[in-house]
Amino acid sequence: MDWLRSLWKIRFYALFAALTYGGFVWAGLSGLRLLGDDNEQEPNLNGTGGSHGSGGRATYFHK
Amino acid sequence: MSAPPSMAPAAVKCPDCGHEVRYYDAVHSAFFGCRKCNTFFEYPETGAPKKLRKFKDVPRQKPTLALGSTGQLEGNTYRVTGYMWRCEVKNASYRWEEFQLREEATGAYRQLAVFQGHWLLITPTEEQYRVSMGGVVEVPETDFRLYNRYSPHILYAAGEFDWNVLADESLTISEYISPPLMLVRERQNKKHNHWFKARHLEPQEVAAAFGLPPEQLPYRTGVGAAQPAPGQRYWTQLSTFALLMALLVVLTHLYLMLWGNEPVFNREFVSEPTPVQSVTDSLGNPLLATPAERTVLVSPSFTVPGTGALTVKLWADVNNNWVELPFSLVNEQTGQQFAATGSMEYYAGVEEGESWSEGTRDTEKLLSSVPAGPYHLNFYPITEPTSPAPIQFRATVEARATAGSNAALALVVLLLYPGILYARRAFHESSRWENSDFSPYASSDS
Repeated sequence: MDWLRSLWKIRFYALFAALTYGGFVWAGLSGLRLLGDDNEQEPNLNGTGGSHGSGGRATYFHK
Repeated sequence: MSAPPSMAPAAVKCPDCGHEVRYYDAVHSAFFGCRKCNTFFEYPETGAPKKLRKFKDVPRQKPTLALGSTGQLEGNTYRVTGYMWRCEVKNASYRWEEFQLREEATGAYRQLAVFQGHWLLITPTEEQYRVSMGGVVEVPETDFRLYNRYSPHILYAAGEFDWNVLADESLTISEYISPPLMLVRERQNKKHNHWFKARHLEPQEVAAAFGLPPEQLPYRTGVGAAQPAPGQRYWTQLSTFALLMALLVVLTHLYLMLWGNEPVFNREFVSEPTPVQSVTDSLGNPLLATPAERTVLVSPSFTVPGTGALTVKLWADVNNNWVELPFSLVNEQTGQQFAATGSMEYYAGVEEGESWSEGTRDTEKLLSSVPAGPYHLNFYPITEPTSPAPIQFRATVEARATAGSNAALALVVLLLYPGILYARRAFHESSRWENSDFSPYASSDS
């Protein structure tokens, strides 16, 4: 109980840590990747991807 | 907070220059330093005054705290009655000042010492402490580590004293620290130990206590012997809480991995080669072959049970070959598409009797926030244009995937401030012990 009371000294960090943890859980449950995305599809005005075009798709050419 | 120096009630005459030295403690004071001729003398109750020393080193600047001035420390009023300038016998460059403070209400004495702008309030104690072989004084609350040991030399003294300050030159003084506290032992002939308790004071406290502008105090350099490290007041709580939160993030990530990563699709495909069309320039010379895109492969439909991240794992049976697998994930209800490209290559052989291999046959892509619904995958394989063999590959889709980078990011964000504070504290500690002969950071060969 005393230890919990002593957390008042770090209340701002505790609040920040709680928000960080909440954001992490929310991102995990909603399937949101916070750093980067492997999705190469650029959304169009309808919010959906355009049809696949093979021309210019390949960016990988081996030695 | 403070009062200007008032006229002391009593006075003695300096036996050297005849200057009147005024003093406050008529009962106890018997030793005096004359500010006019820099003579230190004893004025016994009976008999003639005795000159004890004429100081040659005189401080160039006036003492920070004026003799006779008063200040409030820890709720008590103190008057500055004496001033000393001391150095270590073995290392005369280590010089510090000590102010003799007399508590107005009780007449008790304390010292206020300042070294390189670091202040210590020193109080005599009747307690006796035991020093272990490792130079550690253990008390129930904490351990005090040996920081410094020296004999003092008195460079200058002014004002009144209730003991012969010159006799301190025969003492061996040991300082034990547990910031912000210090224990000081004065030892004479290895038998008589006097202990003092000291506490670090911030310059602002001293300035406020004696009503001085902070810039009038000596400039602070380096780290004081008992100066608390940054975040000392809350470091225990902060480090414990941060580590608990980091553990919680790891456990939550493990739980999400167990709860999610549900396979919703798993199938093998075979990509057949298409005939290579030779391309020539206008003169009929063959041009360099470009990578060959093969027939589009469309997967059967599968259902993503809930909105979340999706992992698409790819494995291709390549051997001394490469394949690039651009694919799109198509929502069959909304037409929404996600696209990514998996690249796999694997080469192996034997060179000069040693086998070697490089590359990998599998890869995985993580698609963020994929809504629930029916989907299918379109693959657009590309490989070596001259490769005639079919390429077999497998695609596995896992719903409710977890992004390890999310956990890594949360850990970095959580531990950034504690990490910076930890580094600052470590630097502070190492700087503190640079002035000590008993540094735990000193290498054994130094």
